[in-house]
Amino acid sequence: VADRSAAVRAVTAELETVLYSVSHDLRAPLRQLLGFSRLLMEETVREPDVSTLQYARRIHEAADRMTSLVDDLVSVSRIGRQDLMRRPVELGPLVDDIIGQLRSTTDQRTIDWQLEELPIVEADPVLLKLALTNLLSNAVKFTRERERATIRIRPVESDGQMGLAVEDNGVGFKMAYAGKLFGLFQRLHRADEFEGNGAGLAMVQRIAHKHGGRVWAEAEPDRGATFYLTLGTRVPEKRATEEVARSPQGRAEQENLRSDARAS
Amino acid sequence: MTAPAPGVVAPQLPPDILLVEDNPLEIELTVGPLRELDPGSRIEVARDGEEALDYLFGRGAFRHRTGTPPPRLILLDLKLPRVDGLEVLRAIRANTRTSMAPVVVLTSADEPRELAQAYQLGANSCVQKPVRPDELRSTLQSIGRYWLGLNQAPPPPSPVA
Repeated sequence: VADRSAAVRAVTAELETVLYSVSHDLRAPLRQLLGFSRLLMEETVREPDVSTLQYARRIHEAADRMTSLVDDLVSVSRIGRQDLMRRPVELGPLVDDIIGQLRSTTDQRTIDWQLEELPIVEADPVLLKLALTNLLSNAVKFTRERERATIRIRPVESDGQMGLAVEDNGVGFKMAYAGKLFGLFQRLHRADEFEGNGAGLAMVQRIAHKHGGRVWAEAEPDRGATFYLTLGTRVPEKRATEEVARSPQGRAEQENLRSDARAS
Repeated sequence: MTAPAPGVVAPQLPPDILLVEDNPLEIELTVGPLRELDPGSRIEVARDGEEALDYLFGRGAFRHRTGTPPPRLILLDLKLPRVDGLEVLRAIRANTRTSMAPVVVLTSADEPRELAQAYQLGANSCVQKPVRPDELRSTLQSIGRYWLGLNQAPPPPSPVA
């Protein structure tokens, strides 16, 4: 069994490497598409020809979109290739820091951030920050239509691992689509509803798995979503029992965990 | 606007920039912003590693350039046909005429191994080439402003040879 999982890991690493280099090779033709369609647009603005300008814009938009897909491919495959550098990370200050960085996008909005006391986990700080940034910016994005958005970040424990949950009162989604949630470039919303490539949660899942943890979600359309993330850090023996007793939702969550992201 | 063919500028004058790049579309997109920054700057282009070295060392088709000082900046793409970018860099550093010439390596990847090799071989700087036009333009113009404006060029090699 050990041999086989080592082989699987080797093949996966090889695939990530191929994906990474192919993505890089795609950047040169994209740069040229973007560059020349831009020049064409500039030319046409000087000598107006409406349909030519529109075609140039479409080429430019398509190339721009492909560029961001390629950027995401590079980021996703980098997660797989990268070595894990675990060290103790205090989740509280990290979450604070990310919320601060999201301010520029939340300036015009009313968001009630509810930050509970969070544990210290053993994780790769760079990857962890990437995962949490994705979860928090999703919460910000999908609560956009709420006059008053509530985003609550609380500790969770599952399968003996510590982690956190990000709970929002945003648009949510049908649990029937939950399996698609973590697939690369899978989206549950139209591009004109919510922008995005569908790479964020795929990254979060890779980061969780790389740490020996999991990510999963619960949601209801129009009532919000909760994303759970664990990172392979065991709950200290003594505290584990206390927590179970203290958390009335514990059981319900456990049930839901079964329909989690592993399927995708 | 297209890049001039190598050697069309007065042979005695060193160019400000030697761009080593094989892809004609990339050449056009790279030269454009640099020209915009300074329309008067002399920019020469070598289309592969061999041509770059012939040009810099005044060999082959560029024999008339023997004795011309090196350009103030060499912009080097790493992926080149025939002699690749790292080989070009090695040869530039090994030749007394060009050993001090500022070389900025343009990459499209941030591959740590490639970066380490480039720095070990004496690259002065490595820059990832942005994909989007605005970023590409500002990156290239920053390079131009820094290396042709702020940076002090190395003194000419001592006239021993």
